[in-house]
Amino acid sequence: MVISTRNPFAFSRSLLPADARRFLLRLLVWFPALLFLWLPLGAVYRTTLIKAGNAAFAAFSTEREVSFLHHTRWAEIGVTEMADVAVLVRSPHWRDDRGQKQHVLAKAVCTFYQPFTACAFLLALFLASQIAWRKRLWKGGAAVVALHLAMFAVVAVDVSYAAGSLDPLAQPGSWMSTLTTMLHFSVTDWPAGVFMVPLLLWIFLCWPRPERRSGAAAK
Amino acid sequence: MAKIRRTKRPPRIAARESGSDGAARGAAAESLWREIFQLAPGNRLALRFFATFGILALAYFAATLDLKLKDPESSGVHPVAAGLTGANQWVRQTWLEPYQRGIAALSAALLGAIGDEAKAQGREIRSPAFAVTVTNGCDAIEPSLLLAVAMLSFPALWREKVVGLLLGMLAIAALNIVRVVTLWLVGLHWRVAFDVIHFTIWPFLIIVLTIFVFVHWLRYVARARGASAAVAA
Repeated sequence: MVISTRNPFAFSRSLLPADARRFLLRLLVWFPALLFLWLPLGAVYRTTLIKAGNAAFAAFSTEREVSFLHHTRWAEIGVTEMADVAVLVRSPHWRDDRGQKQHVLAKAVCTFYQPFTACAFLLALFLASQIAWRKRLWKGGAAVVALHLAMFAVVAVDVSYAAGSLDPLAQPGSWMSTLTTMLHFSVTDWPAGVFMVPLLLWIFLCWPRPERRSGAAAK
Repeated sequence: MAKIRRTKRPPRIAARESGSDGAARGAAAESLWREIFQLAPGNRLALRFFATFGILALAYFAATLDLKLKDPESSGVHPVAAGLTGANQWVRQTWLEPYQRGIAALSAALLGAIGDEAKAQGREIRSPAFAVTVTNGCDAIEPSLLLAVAMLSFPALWREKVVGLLLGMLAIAALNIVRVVTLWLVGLHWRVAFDVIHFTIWPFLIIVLTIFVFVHWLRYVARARGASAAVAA
């Protein structure tokens, strides 16, 4: 019995232009494919992130010692089991009664969720875009670098907040302290940012360039 | 080859300096904006999009996040911070939390309709076996905000923008209810997969829906333009 001769996919085809439909389908393929790269490359990615974080903060932070550590003993440092990297901050003033150095947890990072998923989504957006492959690769690479720099900036805010909350020399009520507090409770803890920030980066980098009205056009 | 002529000083800026009344100053400011946009004619839309998103995102953060000042007495030192914290509490208590309670109640009602024991208590959905709380980030306000910025920035008629915003936000809110219901069911029956579906798959699907809605709205706008052009012809 023939119920209908109409193609059931005809409606969905008419919803979007062909280019947009192709883009969304490619995105739906690329994103899971890139996420699955976590299985073979996750450990390498985590190690690289830890090394890059330690190098970046060693270069810019002189007063405090900031260290990225691969942490599997979550209960000891009081973070959720999703987190696998701990960012610890240590100041020369922080010592216990026995004179031993103390450190404080500035941020617990779930590598798969925070940088890796965001990175996979960002690359999937570029790979799904219908632009030349060379542009896809260099723009995607630049965007990934920008994303990691943004992440390190977020860690820097959290380090500053954690250090300020324990440092006896910190001045509570200063505008810097208030700004750090506000950033700590807003952008550094923004779950939707994992997808929104890559999307904004992609929009920014893929925005069509304005037509140049230089001599060639004037001719 | 034609050369671009450059004058030492744009005449409108000169008018700003010579005129002392408010109207002249306003006109000068307007002309300054026009000149900024003329510097990058193709980037005008981009400027509008990112500026609107930046302002609305800041307002969203200031209004909705759980802002806590480390030292409450510092509010006396910083009246701006005190004002922000006050506005934040008002928005949270008057708008945000009732909306989140509504999401919890509707999701619990849907779960009840399919035979689940879930009950809504404030922003929580509870049963003897499992509980979730609808909090910031679970209400799909951020993707709605992004959609709103994209539609408001795009040069379309206000009627088209309002229709797109209402229908688009409704679609995102409806998908969010589906998200909460499915997350509850996943948490109850397939706990191992809860975190991946909660933090990775559903946010991705909601962003994809946001892009879908915006592109579909663009098509609607283009068709409306085409129809009006045909009528005019």
